[in-house]
Amino acid sequence: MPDERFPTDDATDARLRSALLDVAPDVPGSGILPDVERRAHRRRRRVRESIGASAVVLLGGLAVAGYALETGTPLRANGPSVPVRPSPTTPITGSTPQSLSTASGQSFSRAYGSQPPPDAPPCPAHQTTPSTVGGRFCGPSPGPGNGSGPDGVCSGTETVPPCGHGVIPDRYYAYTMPGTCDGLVTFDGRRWVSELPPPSPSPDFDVWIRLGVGGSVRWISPSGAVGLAPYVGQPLSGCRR
Amino acid sequence: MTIAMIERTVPVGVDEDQLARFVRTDYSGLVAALGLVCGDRGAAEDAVQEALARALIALRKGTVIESLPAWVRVVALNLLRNRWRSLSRERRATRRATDPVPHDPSDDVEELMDLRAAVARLSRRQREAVALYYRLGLSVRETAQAMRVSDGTVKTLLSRARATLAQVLEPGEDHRA
Repeated sequence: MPDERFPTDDATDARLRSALLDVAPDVPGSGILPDVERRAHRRRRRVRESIGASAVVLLGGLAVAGYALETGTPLRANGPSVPVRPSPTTPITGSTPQSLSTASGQSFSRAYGSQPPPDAPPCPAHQTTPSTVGGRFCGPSPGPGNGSGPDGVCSGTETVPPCGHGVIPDRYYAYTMPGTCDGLVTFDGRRWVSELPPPSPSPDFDVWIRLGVGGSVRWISPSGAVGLAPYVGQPLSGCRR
Repeated sequence: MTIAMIERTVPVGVDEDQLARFVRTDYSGLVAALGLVCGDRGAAEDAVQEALARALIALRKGTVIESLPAWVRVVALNLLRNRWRSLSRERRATRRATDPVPHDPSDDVEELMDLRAAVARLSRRQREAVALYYRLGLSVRETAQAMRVSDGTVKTLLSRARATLAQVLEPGEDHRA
């Protein structure tokens, strides 16, 4: 329908489309998925670091406030000092170390996504391959991997996939994920680092692992999903506690 | 629940095929179109990849993205706008400090003969509309959604931009002043 704000002019439109294709030709997009994966990883790490820093500042501030309340030391914050004293009629709550750690623990829970995921459609009946459509894991539970290490963990000496070279892209393999803090694993004959290595040693666990068409690696299981980045000698995380 | 359990229980929500499909079918055109908007293909590529990374994080958190191409378009466009604003501030500050000589508009007349230069001379919103509608092939409605404006605004922007660019495309006419 003709519109006076944008009257039809097919000839000019066609010439403009064609000319703009010449001015701004397509760019190749192959091989960008690993870059996107790295960006996402860096971004998540920045968010986690800023959350950690905020928690430290918050805890420090509250600890100072708690100390001031206990000792009656005046607090000064860009203004006249105000003596803070506990009132016998108003009980002071939320300033003990125990309650501080609880508060911080709750904020960490939210930050790491422990809230229940949004409602997802039910899994199709009799699904024989694993998938993660709509925020829900569907398909059979993973079994142990075929690595020669304990529990089926890859030892690095295997010659067949998934530990050894020859993994077929886009295919899920049963795999045993080691619970070590460095997050270092062997898959497809190469070494990879987990984006979320455990902060403390934990038992090995079974997952489905897949090499994406773009070269990214990711494991899924009924308890979650985590990406892996190629290990190129970057510093590895250690146990935090 | 321990921290270890919390970290392991990242909600499952990634359909990585969505991303692979996007890269196969939509990535190239979107980068080219946004390159037209900002005049810097590298910046356009950076914005689209950053938008994809954010989409990946959102998907892994369990967020449902109904249309990944539309989502990435909006986020990448916003990233470019933010970048453009900060660059504009820097340029203004630099100009104040180092270039007190007034700009002579007649210097730009030659550039207008070239379509790329003519696009660059459009207002930013006209460039966005032109890039999304003509280069990316979106409808007026989709263009309006990506730009977060009304359909009527897009039509007005396109009409004015087309009138300007048509002068450059006119065959056999000399538009030099």
